[in-house]
Amino acid sequence: MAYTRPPYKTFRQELNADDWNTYVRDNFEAGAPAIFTTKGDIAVASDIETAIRLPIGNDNYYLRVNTAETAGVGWSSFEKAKMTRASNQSIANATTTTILWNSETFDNGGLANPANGRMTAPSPGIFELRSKLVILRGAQTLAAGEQMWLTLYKNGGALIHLDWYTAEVTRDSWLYMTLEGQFIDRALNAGDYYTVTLTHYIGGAVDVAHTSSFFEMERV
Amino acid sequence: MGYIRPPSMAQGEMLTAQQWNQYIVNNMAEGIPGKFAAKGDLLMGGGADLSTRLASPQDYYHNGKGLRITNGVPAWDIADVAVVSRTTLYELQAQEDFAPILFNNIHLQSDNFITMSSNDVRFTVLRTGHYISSFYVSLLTGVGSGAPAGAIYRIYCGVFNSAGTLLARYLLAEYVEKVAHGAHYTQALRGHVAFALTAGWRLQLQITNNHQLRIQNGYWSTRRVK
Repeated sequence: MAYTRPPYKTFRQELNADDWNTYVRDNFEAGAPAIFTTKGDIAVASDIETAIRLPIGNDNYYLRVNTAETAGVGWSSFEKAKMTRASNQSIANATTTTILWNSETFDNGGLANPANGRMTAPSPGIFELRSKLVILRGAQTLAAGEQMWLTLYKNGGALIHLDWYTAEVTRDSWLYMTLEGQFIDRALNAGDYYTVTLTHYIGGAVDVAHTSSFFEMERV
Repeated sequence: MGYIRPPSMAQGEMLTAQQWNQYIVNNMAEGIPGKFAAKGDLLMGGGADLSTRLASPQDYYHNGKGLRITNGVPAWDIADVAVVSRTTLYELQAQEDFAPILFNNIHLQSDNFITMSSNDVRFTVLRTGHYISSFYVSLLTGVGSGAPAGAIYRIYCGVFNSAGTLLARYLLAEYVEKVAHGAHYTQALRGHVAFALTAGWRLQLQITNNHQLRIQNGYWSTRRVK
């Protein structure tokens, strides 16, 4: 039943059955509390002079703005996800390689996809992306001037470098290096996705350790 | 217009046009859904028998944010956030005067958080709260005659009040050249700092460098966490 704004009446103008049915009965039916059906319901606008029922959400959900919802708001948890590696990943020399995060630590809001290592925005908004790579030397020495860097990608294109390391002096006994960083970005559309890559010029393959390496995404 | 509580009517009394206009037309306009004007609206009390429309801004900076009490009334929170980046390199002569790092690109900002001019970049917080500031800067050292061992580069975050008076300066990162070299080594510095800030206070990312260098690229972000 839709709400229809009642017209003003003039002096001695009669109220008829249509007035009653349309402007009183139907309007009450289109508003609160008539649209409520369950404890915890909230009346929210879906458009001008249009109310819809927003059912209560799960425990520990928050009422939040959600442009993707018909009501413009909705109950949900705060989106936050973390992925790691289930095993070490080998990264070849001089080859920008996407880290395939294949183990989900937690995922509130459906951001993480351990099948392809991507973090995906469930709806437009501002997100912080954080990543840390623990890089094992394997058999490689690290000569002065050799470099490695961690880059954040968005929708398949490089967005920004998160960290960069250059060896100042030759190191032949290093065990591991860490690269880490974070960046805040605006996802313009639901489905915008992020990945991280490692690029290095150390001369041979190195491993990204499954221990302590991670990729996180969180709405801010 | 406003809601007026309808009186009781006596048996046999007829509804007048004036009563219709006040108790039906005007009162409905003060309720749900008569008061709703846009998607996402809620209705809240503005006092006794007084309703107020609570709009939910449907934009990037509010999407996903919760309802919180601000200045005594419910309001949708906003992601107070700003990110600037450096997209082209620039050179800095040796100086220890806490020169501002000159970012040249606004990546994103809410509520005109950022003040950017050719010789200064500042974040001015609009709301009192707790903030985290993070940066990453890629330095090209060994510019000119080469970098001596011991050359020091330090990055700070300066906190100023609304009058521009420096309140505090936090050291976020430091890099010391281990060996003398003439090659251009790329060194990344990054760091974070959390602080409680008052509305109107300003932040500036600063650098001291006792040897010439180039700033290649990087970014600086600040966001409210509480």
